[in-house]
Amino acid sequence: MIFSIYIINKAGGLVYNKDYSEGLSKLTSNEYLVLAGTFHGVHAITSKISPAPGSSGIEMLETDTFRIHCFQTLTGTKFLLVADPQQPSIDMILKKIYEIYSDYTVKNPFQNPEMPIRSEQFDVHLLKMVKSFNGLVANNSIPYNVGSNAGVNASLQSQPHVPSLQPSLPNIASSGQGLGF
Amino acid sequence: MIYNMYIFDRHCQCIYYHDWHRGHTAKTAFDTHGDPLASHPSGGGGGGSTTTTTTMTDPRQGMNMSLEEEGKLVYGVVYSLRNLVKKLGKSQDGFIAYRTSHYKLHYYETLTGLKFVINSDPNVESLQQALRQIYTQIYVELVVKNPLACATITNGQVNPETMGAEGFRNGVDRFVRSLTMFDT
Amino acid sequence: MSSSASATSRLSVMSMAASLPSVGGYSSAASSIYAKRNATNILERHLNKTRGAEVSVNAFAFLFSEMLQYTQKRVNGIQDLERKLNELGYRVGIRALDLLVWRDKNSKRETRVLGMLYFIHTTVWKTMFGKQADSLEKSTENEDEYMISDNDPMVSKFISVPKDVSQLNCGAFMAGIVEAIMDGCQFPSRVTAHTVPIDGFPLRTTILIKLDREVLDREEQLK
Repeated sequence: MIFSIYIINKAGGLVYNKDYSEGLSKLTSNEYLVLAGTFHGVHAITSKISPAPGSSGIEMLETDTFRIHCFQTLTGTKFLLVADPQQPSIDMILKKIYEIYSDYTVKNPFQNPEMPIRSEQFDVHLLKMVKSFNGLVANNSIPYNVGSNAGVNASLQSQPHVPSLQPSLPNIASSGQGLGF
Repeated sequence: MIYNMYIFDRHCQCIYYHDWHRGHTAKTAFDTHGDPLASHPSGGGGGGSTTTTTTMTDPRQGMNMSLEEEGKLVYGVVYSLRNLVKKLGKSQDGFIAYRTSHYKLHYYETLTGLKFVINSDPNVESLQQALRQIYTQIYVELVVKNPLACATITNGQVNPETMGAEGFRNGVDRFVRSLTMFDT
Repeated sequence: MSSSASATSRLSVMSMAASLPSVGGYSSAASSIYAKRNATNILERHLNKTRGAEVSVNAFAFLFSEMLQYTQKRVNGIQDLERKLNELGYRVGIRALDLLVWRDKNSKRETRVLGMLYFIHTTVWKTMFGKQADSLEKSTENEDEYMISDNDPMVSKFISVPKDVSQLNCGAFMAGIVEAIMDGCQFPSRVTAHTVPIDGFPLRTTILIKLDREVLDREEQLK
């Protein structure tokens, strides 16, 4: 079960956070920011206090109820995946998140790099991916709760896909007549 | 493979340090004014070769921080992570361990606020139980019950001599060496 | 000693070039000296070669993203932005048309509107986006309007339009391409792009082609 996904930019700022199930306590958005900053700092220190040379920063944090997996890209962005301790194929999920991130935020002309992520398609595809993994856990119908970024998503889902054109245009979509090609 | 171990008291002081496999990366131990705890070469059984002995002239000067500094950083990390976990999780004291590419840090906190930290290689299973045993079977037996070993702080000063009683150090050394993952 | 060394290195270059006939591109110097026949530099590739000559969608996405960001800084308002995108598309389309016609073995000049639109719906879409467009329709309300729809337009695949400019459709670029091709074939028209989401295809874009009067008049005569 995937609980949450956080994305931390290279300066330690939280640019994305979303909860997908109720495994964790709810925090205020300010607390999430602090949390991201803390993790960022700890990540840097943990590579310094290694008893063996050349260690990376913290990769996995284990607790009795959940695990935080951290994947840092070569560019310094950190993807944090909070999941239950039994969650399989963690590496694959993290890679997938990175893939979705580089598709729908990096290539989006309206998304400023290093800034909080506001890309509808990113939300949609991430949710789809999480659902596909969480769906494997049978009969766990925990509702997807609405995180701080979820406003976009909620409105998107509730919106029925009614064909509607711009006001300047007559309603041609539904009245169009096929030409039989 | 077990690398090293720290014990912190309630007052953020590193009251015990012991290392086993740190050969290549041996950092400078305490300087003369530092906590002399760590400067006790392990008198334990087994090969004394793996334990680092303190040298006043550090061959790797400037490359590493002192052990005292390192102790503070380790404390800072476990303290931050413990709070982070407390905040995020619904249970108390959920923090068990964290792993990087090269080591795994195991954590155990007693109800009295004593923090046991041990570093191993990343593939080791949880050592929390082992830390618990060190607490109940060695610390309690050899420090708490030892009237000569004053484990607490008097006047804000650690008196490590007493805490570092050979008995405790030997006990920990023997115990850790007996763990199956000690050398592998 | 040295001559044998250079001989072997030349050999390895040749065998490399020979084993990678279609990759090319990086080592133009080495391959042009030792393997003239295999010069597959992207700039020297024959115009007629289409297989393996596609551009990565991702490369395009980055380029298009930069184009949008560049354009966005130099326009006033969304309408202006769409007009500019249309213009950029026009410049692509007018060049693409020549290439398409030249490549097509049995190409003929389209004289009727339907043939023309079908050419865009299939050939143009296939060359540009690797697939046919998803529908071609005639407006029931206006005699001079036709629509080509793409369920999942490649140009806006990775783009999320923010709420404050929600009217913007990046398909204006596609519309520009279509407009250029219509224009180039003597079918002057006004082409615009509109988002018409349907179930399962939230990005579905309809290209609306409004033919000029003269085209309709000519069509009438040809009947």
